[in-house]
Amino acid sequence: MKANKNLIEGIVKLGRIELALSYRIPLIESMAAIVAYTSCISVFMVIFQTIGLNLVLSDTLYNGPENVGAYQQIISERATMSYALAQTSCWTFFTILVPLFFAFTLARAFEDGTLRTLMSYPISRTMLLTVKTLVFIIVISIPVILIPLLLIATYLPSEAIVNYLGLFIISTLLSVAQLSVTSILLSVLSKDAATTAVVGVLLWVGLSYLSSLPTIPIHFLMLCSPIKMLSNYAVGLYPEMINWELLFLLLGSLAFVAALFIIGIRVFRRVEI
Amino acid sequence: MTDIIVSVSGIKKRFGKMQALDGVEISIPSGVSGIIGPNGAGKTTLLRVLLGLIRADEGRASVLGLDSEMQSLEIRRRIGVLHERPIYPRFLTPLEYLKMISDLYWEHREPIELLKLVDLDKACDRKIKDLSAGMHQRLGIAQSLVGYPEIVFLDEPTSNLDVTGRNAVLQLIMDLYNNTGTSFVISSHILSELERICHNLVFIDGGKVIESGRLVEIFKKYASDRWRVLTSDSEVLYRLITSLSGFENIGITGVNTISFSNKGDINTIRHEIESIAKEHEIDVYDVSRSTSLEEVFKEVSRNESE
Repeated sequence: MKANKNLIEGIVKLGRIELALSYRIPLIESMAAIVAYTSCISVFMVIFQTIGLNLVLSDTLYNGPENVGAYQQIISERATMSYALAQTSCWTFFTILVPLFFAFTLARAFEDGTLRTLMSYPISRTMLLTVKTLVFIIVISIPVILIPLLLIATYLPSEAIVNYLGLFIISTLLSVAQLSVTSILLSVLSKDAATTAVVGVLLWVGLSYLSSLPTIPIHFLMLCSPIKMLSNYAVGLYPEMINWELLFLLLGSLAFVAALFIIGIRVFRRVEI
Repeated sequence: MTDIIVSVSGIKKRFGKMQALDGVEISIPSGVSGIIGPNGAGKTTLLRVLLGLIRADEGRASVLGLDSEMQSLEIRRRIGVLHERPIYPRFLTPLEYLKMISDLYWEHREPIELLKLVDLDKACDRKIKDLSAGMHQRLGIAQSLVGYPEIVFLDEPTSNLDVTGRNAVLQLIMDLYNNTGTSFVISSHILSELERICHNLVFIDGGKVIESGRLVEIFKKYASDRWRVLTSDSEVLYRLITSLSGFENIGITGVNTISFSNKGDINTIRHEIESIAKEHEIDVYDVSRSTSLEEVFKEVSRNESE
């Protein structure tokens, strides 16, 4: 128990240093800007449509009270469309940025000597890579999960959120973790930010294309895009699938992430800094 | 003073076609020690091997009796390191950074005491990005001292400093050694600095150790018969001296300086030089033993190439 506490304390302490050292370039600011941008679009849309609705309702010329249902329908359709667009663009934006961000936090650390500085303290390589990955997943996941949730909460009834909330969060985390550990491998193998970024983005675009193919086997989809698999499940593309099969597929996806991470650590333990 | 703190035996390391280390053998005792060599000699590579950051192709290295490859973590608990051009979080203050680093050690010095030790306490609330190059380097030394290290490795600690900053850092290292007893291993290509503060020296060139030992013994070995002349015309005097017997390894070391080897006594040498210079109306201002590390390094390199 005490050993676990010490381990967690160690991870938290190292996590603070990692945040301070590796995120000195404006990563956090960039992500905050993206969040602010998408939130602003959503909020403005709601405000404008609410103002419009209120104007219409208060104006007898348009016979507002009698047409309120129709107006609400229009607003709802537009809102759904804007939600879908925002979510898609946001998700694509983030997942393209994930390899780029990781290139800047790990591969760049090889180049500018940050890693050498960190490795002059009593920190094991396994611990360092674990903390780097955890911090990265947390930093990326928060906006990736929060923005769609905020948008959903704005436009959709609460029960729609509750139904798939757990699965949405798990599959999002899995997808971010998959991209992160793949980026770890690329960073550790190349030790070069530009290579990691370019190969990472190409890999992501390639996987996105593959996962959009209608004939893609579900097991491959599980490996390359858990969130896509869940979306398909949610819209009823796998009517014959039962819950434990879904759980099995998600666990398989998790095992894939874990295997990639272990390979990353083994490579990192031997890599020259 | 005689404990061996760093031991390297038969270390070889190759990067592609370049042989960075080629059978390095050294034993460094406690005290302040310098690893000297031109840029690209293999100093930083040797430090990286000692810290376990890279694996040697052949050979074995140990720090404080611990294997640098297998016990790297344990070594890093007992040493401090200042890399060349280190990077610290720019938006933290020195105090905040040292507090963070302190958490990584089982036992550590109080951050504010460390800042006082390196004379940075007045700037403890300034952001690291606002520190001068000298302050940045003093912060680097402070962070290397956090965990009560037995040895501190400094890689080119004065490379980006002006003369005042260099002197301050060198004085700090001497004070720290005298006050705390911490051993220092300093890698540098600026020889004049190392001769001021080092007890022991290791000369590296082309990935090989070409000489090592206590500074005074190295001087005795290479500089006891080495002389330097300050003159008004070094080129003419050089030609004149080459015709004299007993003068060897003569070289023009500057516009007004010549150096040479001679096993004679100072009065005889001075008399010979002054006589020949007077005949040709050249002024000689000083004839003295050459005790600069630069001269010694040239001598060592010359012997090695022969």
